[in-house]
Amino acid sequence: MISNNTKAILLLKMKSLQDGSVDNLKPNEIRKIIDLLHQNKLYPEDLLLEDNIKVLNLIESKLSISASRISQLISQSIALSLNITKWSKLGIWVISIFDNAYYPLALKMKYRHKCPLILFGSGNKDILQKGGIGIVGSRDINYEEVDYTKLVAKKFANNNVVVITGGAKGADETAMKNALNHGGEVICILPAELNLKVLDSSNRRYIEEKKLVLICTENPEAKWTPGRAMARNKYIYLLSNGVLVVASGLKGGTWSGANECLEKGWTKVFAKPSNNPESGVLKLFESGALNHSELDIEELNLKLNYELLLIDEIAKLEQKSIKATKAMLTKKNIKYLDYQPKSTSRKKLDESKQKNLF
Amino acid sequence: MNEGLFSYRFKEIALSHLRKALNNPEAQFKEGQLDAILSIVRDRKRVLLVQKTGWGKSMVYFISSKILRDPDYYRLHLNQENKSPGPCLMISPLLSLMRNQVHYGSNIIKIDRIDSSQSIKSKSETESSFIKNNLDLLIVAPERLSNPDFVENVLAPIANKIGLLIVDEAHCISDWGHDFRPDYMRINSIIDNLPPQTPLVATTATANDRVINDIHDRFGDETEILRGELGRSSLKLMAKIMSSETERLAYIASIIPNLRGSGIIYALTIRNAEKISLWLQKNGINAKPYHASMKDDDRINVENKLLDDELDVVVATSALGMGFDKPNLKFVIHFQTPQSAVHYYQQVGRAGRNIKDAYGICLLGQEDEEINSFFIENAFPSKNIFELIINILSKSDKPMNEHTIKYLCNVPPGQIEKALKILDSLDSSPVIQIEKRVWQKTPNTLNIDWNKVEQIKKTRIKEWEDMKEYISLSSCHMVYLSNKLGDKIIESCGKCNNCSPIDIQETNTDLIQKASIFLNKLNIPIMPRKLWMKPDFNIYKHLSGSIKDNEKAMEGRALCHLSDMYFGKLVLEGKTNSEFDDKLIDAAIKIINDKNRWHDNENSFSWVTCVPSLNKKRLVPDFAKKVALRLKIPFIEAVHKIKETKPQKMMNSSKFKKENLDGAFDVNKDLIPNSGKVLLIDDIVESGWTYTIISALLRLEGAGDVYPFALAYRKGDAVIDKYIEND
Repeated sequence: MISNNTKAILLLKMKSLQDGSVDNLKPNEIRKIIDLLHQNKLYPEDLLLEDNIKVLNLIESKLSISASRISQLISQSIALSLNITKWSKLGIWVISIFDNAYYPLALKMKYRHKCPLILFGSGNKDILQKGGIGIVGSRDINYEEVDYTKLVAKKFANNNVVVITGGAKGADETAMKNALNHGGEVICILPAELNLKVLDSSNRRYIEEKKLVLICTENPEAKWTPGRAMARNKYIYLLSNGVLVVASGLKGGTWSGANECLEKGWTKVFAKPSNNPESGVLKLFESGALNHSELDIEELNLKLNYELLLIDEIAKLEQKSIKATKAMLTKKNIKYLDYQPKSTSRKKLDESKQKNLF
Repeated sequence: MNEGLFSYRFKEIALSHLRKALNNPEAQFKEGQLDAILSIVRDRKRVLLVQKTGWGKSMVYFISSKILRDPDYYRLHLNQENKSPGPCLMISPLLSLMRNQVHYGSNIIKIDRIDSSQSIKSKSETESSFIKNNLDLLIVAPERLSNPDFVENVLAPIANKIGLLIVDEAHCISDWGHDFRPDYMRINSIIDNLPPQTPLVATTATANDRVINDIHDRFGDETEILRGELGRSSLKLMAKIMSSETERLAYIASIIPNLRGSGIIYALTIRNAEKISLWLQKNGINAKPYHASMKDDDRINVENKLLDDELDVVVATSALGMGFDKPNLKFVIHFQTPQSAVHYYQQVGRAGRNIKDAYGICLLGQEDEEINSFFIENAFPSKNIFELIINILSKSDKPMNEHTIKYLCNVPPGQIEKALKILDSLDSSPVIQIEKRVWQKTPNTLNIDWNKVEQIKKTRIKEWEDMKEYISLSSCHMVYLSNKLGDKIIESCGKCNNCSPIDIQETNTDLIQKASIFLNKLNIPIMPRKLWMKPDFNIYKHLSGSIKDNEKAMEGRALCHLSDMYFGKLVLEGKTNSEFDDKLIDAAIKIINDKNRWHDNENSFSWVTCVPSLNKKRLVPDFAKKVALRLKIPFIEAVHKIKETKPQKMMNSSKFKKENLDGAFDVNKDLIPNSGKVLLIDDIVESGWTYTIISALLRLEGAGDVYPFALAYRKGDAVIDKYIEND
């Protein structure tokens, strides 16, 4: 079942189907709306209520997004439900940042207000919260690198470490296939074409066995483009407790993805040294990547207790002790995962340097 | 609501629309019509209308649509200026119904329909005027909702602007309904997402309490149920147990000339409909069959002829169903008792709509129990069939077409079609139709509530028990029927055969004997196959491609359907007793000697042979020998069985049947006479492959033309053959 908050966001971003159509909302407009609603103790689902005029007026007055534009978008609920049915027939679900039980906490905590509002996916949603180790590499890896990728994927699988990949040819595909073959779990972040990938029998079987989860930030019908492939890379790092680069050139997706991560400090980057003079790995080491020999599976795969991490963070924001924070949350009957820091504290946190939480 | 507050004069305006629609300045609303319009239009409620057919539900839709499309209404009633309400949409399941509706409605509103019989051009014209808001009301069949093009390009853009959603024959929505259609499932997701202000009206004439509750659940708690009285005062109901088919045929032929009017006879199967129609024709009654195997054009033609009083009788299966409206239909006779009171009420309710007296006669035959049990049992394909389909698609890396699925499953193809249709309607389906009749596995798992399926089956069994009770009732039939449909009337009708004697004259002639001869004469052609099946046999390698002239069998004959109440039974008894009754020989000889109707040339048969069997070694040869003796020609056992096979009836798909037969027979060339027609005898014919192979083997070894003959023909189940109505 798709939550009403998710439905509301989908409606706001859905193209208008009517003639003389209104413009759908851009992601940053939707984010502004969500923030505004949050400040007023409201949720996107309040837009779906029959009596939503106050909400619409609030948005119009504060953000200058016209009430009629939003209400026209919101009115396409049947078209949306027909889409949702189409997706659900393919085994595709939709979650949003409001679906706390499934939306990966790591993504929210590391990427904050930039995290994608909507995730489409297929397969076992429970894997999403487990974290894992990313395996990335070029499309055209050599035999030795293939063997190495197979070996580490198997090792992770045997140690119950979730493998996180981008589903591309080469390193991604090898890692995914071998982890799954050895009974491991895999999160695969696709740039596009989710509607085709779910039917691909090599994916489908593992989805059925609840070992594989495919996710995509684009609509399931979106076509592959180089831009979408590049945009997808960062999510591998954002979701992982550590990423292993099996091979990288001096340009291309792996190279830029690893550098971006090193720069932003989203997670530790490990890399396998290479003799190839065209390899970018040496440069990655210079930028702070660690030698793959330092990758300690047990350390990275410490069962992450998100709840504790979250309480820790809330405690810092509220400037209270952990014990006092717990008591406060219990008293207010707020579930840890549902806690939304006040906008001022959120701002404070955003301003403060991003800390590598993992 | 205080009506005085509104300047929009509802009643007057509605009445003027009614009069214009009916082209009658004196017309008045029937009881309940105006209330329904007020609830829908003025109060914007979700309404479920339970009214008997012919009450005038369509007038409610048309007038509601008319007012809802009137800008004056919004200005005067709701103080909304320049409101441009969207078009109304009606979902209705049957062609015949749609034709009538369009005709009546077009007097007051712009109304059009989309159905499968239209050309692509006229379809797209209708669609575009719907999208452009140039239509007041569009009627579509529920199948349309499973067409991706329609959904994405026509429905989605306008769905939230729809002025009124009409769900006709709404009992189809309920899986408790007797007529559940998977396509109707799609309506649910539209209803769930309708803007709260959009009025919704669902109508049905045939729903019991359970169905109504189910619909109520789906539409929401605030749904208003408007119930009319279901009893039809013009109808004289009568019910009778009449086991023998012969007696029933004689009975209907004897009463119909005295009923003074045209009517419908309902039969449970297509074959019965054809047979009864033929019988009535032989008795000088102008009758025509009507069933699902006929072409749309032919069906429409029969409907029109009945409407124009050019026919005395239409012998129909349930295919002549919802919405057929002939105001002066004099009688509805059920040659076989239908499955439930809902079925019965719906069908008998076609009689006496606009005349003072009409008859509803229901006969219970000995075969009805078996046929209805089969219907109930097979209404929903078994879990195994779903699993089989899913399994086959799951193993495939590529999409698979429906043909291949049927080929690979060892189950009757009709069950596969039904299962796929159900799967296609599920929101989260394990298989998906990626293009027409091409299927692919999705990551979803099968999610069917089997307890519910079982519960529904139990309900249906109970409903059939009720129907038998109806036949042998000693109290008022109309009261019983109305009560079963949720109408709580208690007052006896005073007209049915339990309330007062019924005035039907039986012409007393020798009709029983005539009917008996008629039934005995019916025999069934066994058509020769034209192609060997792909892939080729492993052992009979030379039998491949098209069946050549020197391999081909001639058209054969079967004495009866195995389901035949007389001969069919004798055949089954013969198989149990290992000897066929002499009556079967007499009947067989009649057919074999009937050169005009079968092997139409001067020559008689030269010799007789038979299909050998390893388990019942002597049964068929003994019979064939007796036939040969009577024909005074030699019986030669020229065919031998060299491989044990499973009975063909156990093999459900052609693929398995064929593999079962590969290399099973051998022909002794030395025994075959050089020329002359051969009579090839077997007891039961099913797919016809046994005959096809043996005939080819005989012909290739030098035999003359081979004419297959079987005692009985079986298709699918013992009772149910290919002529049976599927829904």
